[in-house]
Amino acid sequence: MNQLIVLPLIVPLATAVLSILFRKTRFRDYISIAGSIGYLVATGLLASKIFSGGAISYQAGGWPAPYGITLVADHLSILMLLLTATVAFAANLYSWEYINDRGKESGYYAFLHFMITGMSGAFITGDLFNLFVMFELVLMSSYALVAYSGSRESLFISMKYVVLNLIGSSLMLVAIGGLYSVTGTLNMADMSLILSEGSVNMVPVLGLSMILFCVFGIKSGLVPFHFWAPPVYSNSPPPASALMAGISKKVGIYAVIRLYITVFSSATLPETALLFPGEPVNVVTGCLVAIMASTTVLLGGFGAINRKSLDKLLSYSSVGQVGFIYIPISITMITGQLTPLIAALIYVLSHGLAKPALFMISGIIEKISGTSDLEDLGGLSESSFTLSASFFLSAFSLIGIPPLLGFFAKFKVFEAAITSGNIFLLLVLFVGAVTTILYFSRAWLEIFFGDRGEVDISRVSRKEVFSVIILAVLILVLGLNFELVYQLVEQAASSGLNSEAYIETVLGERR
Amino acid sequence: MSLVMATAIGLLFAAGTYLMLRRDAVRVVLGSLIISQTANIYLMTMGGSEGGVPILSHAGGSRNVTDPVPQALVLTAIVIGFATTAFLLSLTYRFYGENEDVDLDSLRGELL
Repeated sequence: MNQLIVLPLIVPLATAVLSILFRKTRFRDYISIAGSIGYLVATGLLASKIFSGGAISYQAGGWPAPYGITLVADHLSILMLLLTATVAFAANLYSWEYINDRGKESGYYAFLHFMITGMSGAFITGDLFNLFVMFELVLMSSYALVAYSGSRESLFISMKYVVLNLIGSSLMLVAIGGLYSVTGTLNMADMSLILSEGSVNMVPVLGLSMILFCVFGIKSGLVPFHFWAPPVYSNSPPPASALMAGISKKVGIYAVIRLYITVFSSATLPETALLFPGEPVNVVTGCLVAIMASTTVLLGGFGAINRKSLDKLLSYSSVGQVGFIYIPISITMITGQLTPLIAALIYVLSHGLAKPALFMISGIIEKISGTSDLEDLGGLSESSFTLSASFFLSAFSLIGIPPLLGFFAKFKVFEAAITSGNIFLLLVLFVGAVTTILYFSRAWLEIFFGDRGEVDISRVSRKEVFSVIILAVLILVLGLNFELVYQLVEQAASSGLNSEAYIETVLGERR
Repeated sequence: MSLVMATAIGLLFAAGTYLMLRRDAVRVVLGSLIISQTANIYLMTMGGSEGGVPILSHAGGSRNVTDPVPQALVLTAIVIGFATTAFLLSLTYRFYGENEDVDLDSLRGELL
């Protein structure tokens, strides 16, 4: 039953099409939420299949592996899919009451589900060009969601975002075309095999892999490509920025893990190369990643401290937190060790649950008090216990308070930096952690304590609060059952690191 | 031949970058259009030497056929680029409607 693998693609795609058809009727909310639940079930089925029988691949159209389009699902993909399904369900439930009729009539749900389709596609594709197509699917939907309010600012921000990503897509095409010309294949497993045989010229692979990294840097908002993120996140509707900051950034991170750690890890530059002779391609790119990630941690952290409004603070924080994920990834790229990758994936989980929750809470706060300015807010802890408890759980998970999931994530990332023996990275992480404590405790104090501002608690619906509670409770529960999470993530990380197994899954029959 | 193509692609990328750095939003759109189309030309060039039509009956058994994969890729990329550019143009139009000016500097200092 390897056909099961297409379910996470088909379900959101069908939901998106149905959402277009029924966008003007009252069924639209039910169709959309049924689609999200269906997606959750589909990923659950695929997960149980993979956890019992290992990674599976499916050749679309029946063409054998390097020629047709391959879909692969292993432990790494399924971990990302489960995270996506959870956040997508919460965002969808939140949108039910939050998005007004005008938005829903112009197809808000359709864009949401097209975006989910693109994300799942990116997680299960085994083909480099197909990855590009899936990226475009995510981007197209997010362009529309950013411009959703139709105001002058959001139109301008969406324009900037489109132009930047058009450049990014062109760069990605250049890199893909170059890699095809060098290796003669687009299938990622086949490419990994060809690179490990060492029969092709490795020098262009280094340059092309760096161009490709710029594209993923744009997607996940690494310095110096971070500048689009804060305005985009603070101008989109909260459930959309929850999905974008929570998951669509992780699509870039997943692509980096898949391509660099699984595929390019076998490429080594020849001894005759002018620069870096005899070095593996990943070591050279990994040093670049480490520098970019360190700058991201510092810039995002210091940028968030002094923001006036909650949504801007969260946007800068999400820039900085991505750096915490990329630092252990760069360590794995350089050393090839498993533990830093595990740390990165735990951080992906912890940030992927906490940041959407925070964005959605900031939406609720803006709705009940009419402002998101930190100066005007205050005393919310008296008005709503659930809201302050959820904010506490998500924000303090990102700060790293035990027993929340974020504590283990920070702990593992620090452990990875200490074992790598690099003082500079450790220092950056330390400063980054301190800034996280500063800006989140500032937000916590300003919003929930102090003078009580004007609030109208009746304007918030149960569905919005419930979707936030789901994510906050998950952060607590996953933190308390960390052994289980660790096992899952360890399997995911080892399937990311094990190119042999990946090649075997995709090209198994041919070899 | 590859030298000619390389020069042409380089010039086109330069032209696209120049247009993209203008203040006028319409020129920025034109610049991004040129850049995405140049990427397609680059992709075609990466397909390698030209040969016969890559259809079994046409090739007549000779092994010298053009690689069809880059052409399939470029077809997909053209459609995606076309859709994005159309969307960008409609955004620009809406922006003109709201702002009554396509000068991107008119917004300086208002955002962040």
